[in-house]
Amino acid sequence: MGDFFNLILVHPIINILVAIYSMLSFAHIPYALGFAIIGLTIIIRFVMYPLTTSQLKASAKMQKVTPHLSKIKEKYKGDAKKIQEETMRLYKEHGINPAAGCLPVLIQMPIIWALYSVLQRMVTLKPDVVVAEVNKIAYFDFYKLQNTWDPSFFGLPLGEMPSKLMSTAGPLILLVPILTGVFQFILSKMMIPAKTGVAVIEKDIEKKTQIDKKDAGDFASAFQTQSLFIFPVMIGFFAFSFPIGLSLYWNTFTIFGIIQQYKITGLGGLGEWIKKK
Amino acid sequence: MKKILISIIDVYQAFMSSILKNILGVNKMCRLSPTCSEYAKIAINKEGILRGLRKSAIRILSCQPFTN
Repeated sequence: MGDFFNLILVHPIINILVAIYSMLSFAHIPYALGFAIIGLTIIIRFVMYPLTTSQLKASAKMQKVTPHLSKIKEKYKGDAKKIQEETMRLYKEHGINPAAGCLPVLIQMPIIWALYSVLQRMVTLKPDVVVAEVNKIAYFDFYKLQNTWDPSFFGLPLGEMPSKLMSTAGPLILLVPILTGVFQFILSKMMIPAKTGVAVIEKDIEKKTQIDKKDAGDFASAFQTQSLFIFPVMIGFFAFSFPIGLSLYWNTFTIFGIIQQYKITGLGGLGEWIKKK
Repeated sequence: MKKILISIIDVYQAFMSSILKNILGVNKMCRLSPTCSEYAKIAINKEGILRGLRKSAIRILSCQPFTN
């Protein structure tokens, strides 16, 4: 399984990374490794762009029909078949693309994971083994490495974790996890649709279901309702304990996501805050 | 065994599901109701582990462009 994953995802991605790196360093661009990570992330995001777009659109439409859905559920309580039929009809009426489904989601997960494992592996390579390790995986000679790479990005060592740099670089290094958390928060906030009548009704429904779920434990339910706040903190904590190269990947990923989200569904929940100011 | 499986699904529902949604940027991704995970819990409870798991797998696989 691991070998298969390497063959179809990890090794191709490493090749793209090294090819970008070689191109950048051939052009004498400084901090080539860092920019190669950014470039690689953007390329992957563009590849996934249509998938993410269809998923965002479907998600926004789903949000709109939720109140109707709960009406259907109440009306045909107990008759699962009828509910399913009516639901499908509702989707058709509102033009919810059946192509959305959860398949696009399932396709994206391994790609995101592969990108993570590639970078984790690449940025933590010891300088003296970089050339040998990378060239073993490179498919073509013309972008194979001649020398080891410079693992720093504007003075930040990509292979080190902020948690370890605290003693040498001081508290300023905390900016890395904090910024990572902030970008994540912006994206999460944008994902929540702006408050409309519909959203309010939906909140009521959510409250009802939450009461049903109370036995699932207070922490679990708090996690679900507060994930807008908890998740960015979690990501920030990851950024603190993972190599900086991974934060660079994640921030590029998130910023691309923010732009895409803005283009497709607008500011969402973030809009209220911006207008207030 | 049944209980273990169901509590694994519980953990998924409580944590993994919202983490996934945050990573991928979706609020609502289920077209089917109840959600597949909820369905799996019910199925495993009612029909036992093997049949329940098989039915849940079929259901997850049916959530894609080629079925209606």
